[in-house]
Amino acid sequence: MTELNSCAQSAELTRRDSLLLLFSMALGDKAMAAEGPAAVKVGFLRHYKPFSYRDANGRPLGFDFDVASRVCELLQLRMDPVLDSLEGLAQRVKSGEIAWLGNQLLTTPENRRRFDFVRPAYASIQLSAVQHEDDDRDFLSLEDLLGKRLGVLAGTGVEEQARAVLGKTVKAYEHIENALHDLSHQRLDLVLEENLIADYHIRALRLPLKVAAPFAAPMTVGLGVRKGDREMQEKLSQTLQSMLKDGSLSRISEKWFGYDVSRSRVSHTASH
Amino acid sequence: MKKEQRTIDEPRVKFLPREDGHDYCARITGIPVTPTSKPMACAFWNVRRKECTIVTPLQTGYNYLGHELRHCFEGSFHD
Repeated sequence: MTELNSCAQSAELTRRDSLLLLFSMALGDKAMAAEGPAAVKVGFLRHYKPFSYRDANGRPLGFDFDVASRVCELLQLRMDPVLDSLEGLAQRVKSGEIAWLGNQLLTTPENRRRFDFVRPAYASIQLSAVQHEDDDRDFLSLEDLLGKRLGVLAGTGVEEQARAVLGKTVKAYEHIENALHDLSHQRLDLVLEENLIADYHIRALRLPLKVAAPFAAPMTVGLGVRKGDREMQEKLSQTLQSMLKDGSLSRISEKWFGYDVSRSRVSHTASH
Repeated sequence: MKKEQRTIDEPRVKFLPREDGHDYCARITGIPVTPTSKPMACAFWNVRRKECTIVTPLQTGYNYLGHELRHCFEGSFHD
């Protein structure tokens, strides 16, 4: 039995090694054997705090950056990050210059025309209310906010929808940090923002705020790979599943947000 | 589930019966209201603040409340 296990393990290792070698060759780099891990270019949005951005010294960092680093570690690859605009990244993915997009994108019809998406998503992202931590009022819909002061990010669909219901009581901000700052001084009643972006700023800036009620369903997101690149899609999917199981995603979550963001923060009971 | 295994060990729970309970739960979970099925209750929680809110329509039942209350302690356990 022990021998059988040992054979099975060794067969599994051989199969895994072969896959890794094929994967490395598919990336167009030299085999990793003598020269260390093969390099792989992974694309990230340039200004997407806390998911991917550069620090004051120009060093790339962020939640998605850490997740991609761990993915590369498990695949025995050396990550070569490329930071660009979404348009630039889409072209680089299409041309094969970068192996995948390291940020989870919304799986909108437009994005689906440009990328294939990797399952599972590793973070539950949801448009949510942000309120002062001393505010116990319950705001669950835009109608609940009639006559209240709402802050949103300028030029977004959220601004458009909020203005349609609330009109001039909506204040749009170029930077969400400024809206959160105004909310912390109670110059606003509420800010609508994605839960993880809000949670990150609340923690990083030590703001007296809280993420309260969700306003929309969790977004359907995923890492983007070149259209038709099934091998990459499957490899990333398997690696993310390993990271969900081995606790590494949870640890990266804790570092950036203070809790495990791979789990949903909403539930429901349905009648049938 | 043991206390140390819970998503929130001792949550502060708020219960919000609302006229738009079905619609709110449909909106935040993505489960649509159809002629044959609709969300009867939902909950959302904030792990860092150890808070949980249960939302239902004005008419509800202990079965729905109990199920959502379990989510308040154990987080997302269906998948």
